[in-house]
Parts: sequence; structure tokens; C-alpha cells
Amino acid sequence: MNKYIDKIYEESLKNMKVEANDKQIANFNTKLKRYRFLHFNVATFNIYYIALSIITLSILSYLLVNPIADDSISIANIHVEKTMENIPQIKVNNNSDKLIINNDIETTPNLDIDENNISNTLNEDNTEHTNNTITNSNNKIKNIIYVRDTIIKYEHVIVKDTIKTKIHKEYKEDN
Amino acid sequence: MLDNSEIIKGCRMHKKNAQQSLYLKYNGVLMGICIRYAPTIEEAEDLLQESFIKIFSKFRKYDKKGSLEGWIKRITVNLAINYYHKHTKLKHKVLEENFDENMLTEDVSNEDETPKSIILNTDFRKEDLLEAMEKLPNGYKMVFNLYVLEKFSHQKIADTLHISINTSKSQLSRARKQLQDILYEKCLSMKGLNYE
Repeated sequence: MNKYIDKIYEESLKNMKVEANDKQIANFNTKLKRYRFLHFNVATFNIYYIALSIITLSILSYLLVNPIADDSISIANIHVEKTMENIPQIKVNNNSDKLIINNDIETTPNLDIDENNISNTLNEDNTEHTNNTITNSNNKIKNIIYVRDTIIKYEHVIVKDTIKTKIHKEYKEDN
Repeated sequence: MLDNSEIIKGCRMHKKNAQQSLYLKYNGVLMGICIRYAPTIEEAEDLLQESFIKIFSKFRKYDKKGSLEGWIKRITVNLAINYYHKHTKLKHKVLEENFDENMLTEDVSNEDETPKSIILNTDFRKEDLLEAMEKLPNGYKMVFNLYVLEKFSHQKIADTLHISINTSKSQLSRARKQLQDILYEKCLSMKGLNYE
């Protein structure tokens, strides 16, 4: 057997060292740089991933305890309540055919509240009635404008409709 | 340069200076391994760089029980074996063969003492030995490397290279015979040159 070959090779090559030259070291440094860059990115990605997961879980937990829908409803309710607080109270004066707004102003409601209608009313009043009637008409117009402005101020269809319906109904019942 | 404990600590923390120190300290040893397995110097360099990258990425798994050098050598040899599998898969099947017990007897009976004595009396350079090994078929070279230099058993070589034990034995025997012939020729040519 040629086992002596084994011995020759073992003695010579077993702990052989082939030191790298400058070019090989430079090549290695380039490779190391690339490796470190990729490794860094992976590490950064993991950090971001973990941070994002924590934030997402926190938001989900918060929403679980405080659902958005309930909050919206609460906010909406508060808004409606505050709006309703500012809606002028309208009552029917039993002694006349006028409405009392906020226990203060009396008016005969005009259901079509717009500038044209106000103008028409004004013209009619000016041409058909006495000075006293004109004064009353002017007051009426002022009150109508007040109601209109109040309604416009809140700009809420439901509120407007409610007021209009209420005025219309009470005025009809009264007459 | 950092000592081993600092290198281990630094590499685990992914420190650049520790990784560079590891390279500067062990590149010679690992290149010595790579050069035995790779067909060319360029491929040996690639294998070396891949080995270091593998070592850096696996450093957290190093348990400090064995020596650092032993651990990184093992990684390099394993990578070289993978490299062999990747590049010589087709050749590998061709080299599958049965081991003939008579082969050993034949070798012994035909062994000429002259080549052996001449070879033993010659002081070969490492380059000569590597050059002779380079001339072996990949399978022979692989088995010879693993058996003689890594001290693998035939069973382990068979498992590692996915060949039979007989093939491992056969290839080792043929590798030895071929190396003997190549080195003998080398001796003769060296002597011829000397005589001139």
C-alpha cells in the first residue's frame, strides 16, 4: 500500500497556511462591507418591524377598549345637544295668533323664509295697511329674519326641518 | 490584533474590527484548506470569502466548547464539501465504482521499492504536492483530502459524499497510486534537471 503518501501529505499540508496578499485582503474588505450593509439592513428592518407591531397592537388594544364608533356617536350627541340648547324656544301665544320665541319675541311665522318672500311681504304691507300696520309688519319681518338667521346659523337640515315643521304645525293648530 | 476571546465577543456583537481581526488571524489557515479542495486559486479565494461570511453569520451558534480554530475549520470543510457537490454532481455518478479487495494486494505486490524510496528521499515543496493533487480527478481528490487530512472514516466519507464505502476505499487507493506516479515522475524530472 502507498500509505507513505498519506504521511507526506499530512506532514506538509495538514497545517498549511497561505497568507492573503493585499489584493485578497482588499477583496475581503469589500465583501465584508457588503455583508455588513445587508446585515445592518436586516437588523434595522427587524427593529422597525417590531416597533411597527407594537404600535399596531397598541392601537388595536386602544380601539378595543374605546371603539371609534361609540366616540363618534358621543361626539355627535354632544353636538346635537349643544345645538338643541341654542335653538330658540317657540311657543304659541294663546291670546294672539303669534308665536313667542325665547319667551321674548312674538312673531307670525313665515314658512318660506327667503329674501324674496320677505320683500313681497314688505311690499304688501306697505301698500295695503296703515302706518300702524306697517310698523307691525316691520316687526314681523325682523322676527322672521331672526328665525331665519337662527336656522341658518346652525345649518342643520334636521333642525331646520324640525323648527319649520313645529312652526307650521303650531301655527295651523292655532288658526 | 485582538485575542480570541475579544474576537469571539466582538463577532457575536457584529463588530467590524473583530471580524477583520478574525480574518487576518485565520485567513492563512483557511486558505490552506480551501486551496486543497478548490480546482483553482480564484475558486479557493471565493470559497475562503464565503467561509468567512458563513462564519460571521453563524457566530452566535458557536458554543465555545471546542477551539475557535477547529470550529471555523469545520465550517470551511463543510462549505468545501457543498461546493464539491454543487460543481461535480454529474462527475460524481460516473466515479461510483466497486472496491476490489485485490486492488490492495495488487498494489502491495506490485509496489516497486524504488519509487517509494525515491519519493521518500525527496524534499517536496508544498506547491509540488498541491500540483500533484490538482491532477487527480475530483472524486479522488475529495476522498483523499477527507480521509488523510480531515481524518474522516470511510463510513463518514460515504455518508458525506453520498457514495458507498467501497467507492470511498477504491477512490482513496487510486488516489494514492496516482499521486505516487505523479510524484515519482516529478522526482525523476528533478533529478534529470540536476544531472544536467
